[in-house]
Amino acid sequence: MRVLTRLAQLAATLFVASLIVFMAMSVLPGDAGLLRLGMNAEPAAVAALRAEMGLDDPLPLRFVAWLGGILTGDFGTSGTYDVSVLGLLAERARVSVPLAVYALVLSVALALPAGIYAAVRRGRFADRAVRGVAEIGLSVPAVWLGLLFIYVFAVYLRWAPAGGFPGWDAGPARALGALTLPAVALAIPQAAILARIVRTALTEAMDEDFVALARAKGRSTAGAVIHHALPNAWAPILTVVGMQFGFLVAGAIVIETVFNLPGLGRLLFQAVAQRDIVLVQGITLVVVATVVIVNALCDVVAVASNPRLRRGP
Amino acid sequence: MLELDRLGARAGRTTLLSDVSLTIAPGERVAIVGASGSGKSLTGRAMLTLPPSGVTYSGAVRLDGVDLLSLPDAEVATRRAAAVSIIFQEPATALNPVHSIGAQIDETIRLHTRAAAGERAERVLSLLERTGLTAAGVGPERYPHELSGGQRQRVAIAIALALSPRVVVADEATSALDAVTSARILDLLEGLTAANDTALVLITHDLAVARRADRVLVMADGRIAEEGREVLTRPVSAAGRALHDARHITLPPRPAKAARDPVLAVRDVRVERGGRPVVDGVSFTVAPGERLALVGGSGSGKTSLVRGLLGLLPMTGAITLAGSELPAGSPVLRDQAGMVFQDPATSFNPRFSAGRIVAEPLFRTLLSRKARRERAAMSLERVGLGGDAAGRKPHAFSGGQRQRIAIARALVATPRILFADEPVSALDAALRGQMVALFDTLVREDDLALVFVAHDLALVRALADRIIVMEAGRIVEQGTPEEIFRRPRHAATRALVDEARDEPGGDARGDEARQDDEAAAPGG
Repeated sequence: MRVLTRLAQLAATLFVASLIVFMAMSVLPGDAGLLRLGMNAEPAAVAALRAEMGLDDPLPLRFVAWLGGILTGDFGTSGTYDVSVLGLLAERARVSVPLAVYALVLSVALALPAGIYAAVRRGRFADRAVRGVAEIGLSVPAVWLGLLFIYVFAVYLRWAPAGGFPGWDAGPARALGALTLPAVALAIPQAAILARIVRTALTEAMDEDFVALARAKGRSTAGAVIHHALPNAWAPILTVVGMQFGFLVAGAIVIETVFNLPGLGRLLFQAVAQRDIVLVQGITLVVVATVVIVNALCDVVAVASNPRLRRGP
Repeated sequence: MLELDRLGARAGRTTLLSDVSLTIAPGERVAIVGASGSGKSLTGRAMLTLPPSGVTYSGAVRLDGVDLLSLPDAEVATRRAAAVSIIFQEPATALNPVHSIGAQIDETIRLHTRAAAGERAERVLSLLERTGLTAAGVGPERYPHELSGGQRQRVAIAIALALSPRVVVADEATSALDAVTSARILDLLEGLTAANDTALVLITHDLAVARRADRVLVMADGRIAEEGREVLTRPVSAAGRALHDARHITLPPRPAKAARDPVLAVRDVRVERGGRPVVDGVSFTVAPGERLALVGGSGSGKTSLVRGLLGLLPMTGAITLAGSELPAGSPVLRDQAGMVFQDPATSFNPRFSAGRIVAEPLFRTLLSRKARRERAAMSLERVGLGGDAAGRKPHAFSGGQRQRIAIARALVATPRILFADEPVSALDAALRGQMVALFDTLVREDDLALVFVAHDLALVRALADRIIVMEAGRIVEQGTPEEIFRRPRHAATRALVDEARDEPGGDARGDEARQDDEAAAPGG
């Protein structure tokens, strides 16, 4: 029952999101037909193209047609590339999805131990040090980190390529190598935020009697935190992880440009520059849907990890 | 066997404990009593070397001659639970909500022994059996939120006794439970520790609990103020006398009033939780100036009834307010009623100032911001919090002061009915008396109808004009305190009254009887 309600909510959210994406693109200035044919095109030719593209139909009709197409796997045809949007998305997702997952894994892998360590050593030097480093980490923009990494690791130390993507055909090692610097640049500011959330959630849970009881059972401070405080702190941590996935996707637009990676972010950037509205709509919808679905998944996991919610009152 | 030698404790520059020395022999029962902040809990936690964060101990805590305070924590950890274990006060927070109770009992065994999984499972089952949980149908797969407060404390006892330690520290282990449950839990604890020759340290603010000990220590201001069983009958120290006096609540006499039309009448109220009725067909009335007590064991539906009436839980039934029936499901009663919750700390937004907390019920009125501030300040003044109290945040107040803020908030919108759910049970005995006197004064001044839930029968007897006894969601008996205490008819009422009669503080009989009780108080 709870799962059905959640699914219905998810569907409603996705529908509203698609409506907003469609409306936003429709109210933007600029005539798609004119853009496609050039500024000096014959008005008659433009009108013919508009009719062909269905741009003269009323908005609701166009929305239904567009959404219907998407539900059947037809995202339309890109104006600038003249290929199917779905094909473009699938091709670029092969770079962007691994990048986002890589960055998210790095962020959690950095933040969880750092946050736990700071919480265990609450109030002591190690705690202040972790919080200080986190403060720096979160004030640094990912773009700047990216540029710094290119200079230090690619230009100066020559450990990694400065940008570009060899493709997965070149072997997973080389492909992941090309994604490492951008993933780290994306992950560090997110890890800093997450580490602070982990620390706060844990220190709150640590004040509960059952953590003291765990110590009274003979657990070490770290053991009590990991086995008793952490399982009770998952809800806020997962919520933030879900939100961060959205930031990672957004951050990827800039980072993919800096590292010259052929991902969705750069594709979106180019599509906007070229007023390729069909493509922009497609990418935006996919990105929004991904973020919404990932957040819903995080909610589901948070509920599953809490017996009070799992079984109902 | 266990010896505290000139134990001290400090947090930063504040001294919390000084010069606390005591020894505990095998099988002995020692009670440490004191008001909140007297250092009794810190002393108990010192026996496991578990200071709250920011607190450091000095002196020595010797177990079989070995000073635990000078050992590294990893060394002490091997002795915790195995040699000395502890039971905490709050059944709601003492167990981890995300682990099953079986796993939480098993954890203690797993950490200290090399027993195989099958053997550990057997030991868990035998502990559940010994603590009476198996008989109540509670298996190891259950989670804490599925158990009642008393059952959770039984789980805490099972954890504490899992390794047959030599000392068990019960830190206010039954203070949050109703009288009947509390007595059963203490009986169980006594029986199980006596069977193993385990020493039991009872930390409490309640002399009725301390009565069970061989030896009683009174603590005040981080020191031992008095020692010996005489404190139960003839206390010498100021702290001992304060604890003694706090057992009786005396209020100025109330003139007999003519019968008045009820301000609130409820008929056939039902409240459901999780698909099963927790309040089932309850009807009662209450008149202006009348104090109505709702009593009953845990899970009898008292709290759900109050919450249902205020629209905080879905309910069905008819509510008549001052003669006019309210539309079904209407929260109108909330405009005419104030509510005081059991634990004030959790009913406040910690980021709001006391003034803003108190002014909140006025949010639907058309008063100006200035007028609301003034009303809040006046309300705080009435509960004895004048001066700069309105500008301070909740954490800057003590437990008793927070409950005063909660009362000020309940009264700010000049309600006709005041609901209070265990309004004083989170307070220690000394504060309890003051708070009851405050309720008495305020209700009298405003001619309010008071509906309160309580498990402390001394409080009920002192404050109530009429008592409703509930069991399993229904009213089983109602009457004046005289009728209920002298001639209880229903079994549930008798169980409650008997329990109160066993306690010197319970005050279940008339005044003459109480005098006798004092003279003959056990332990001399």
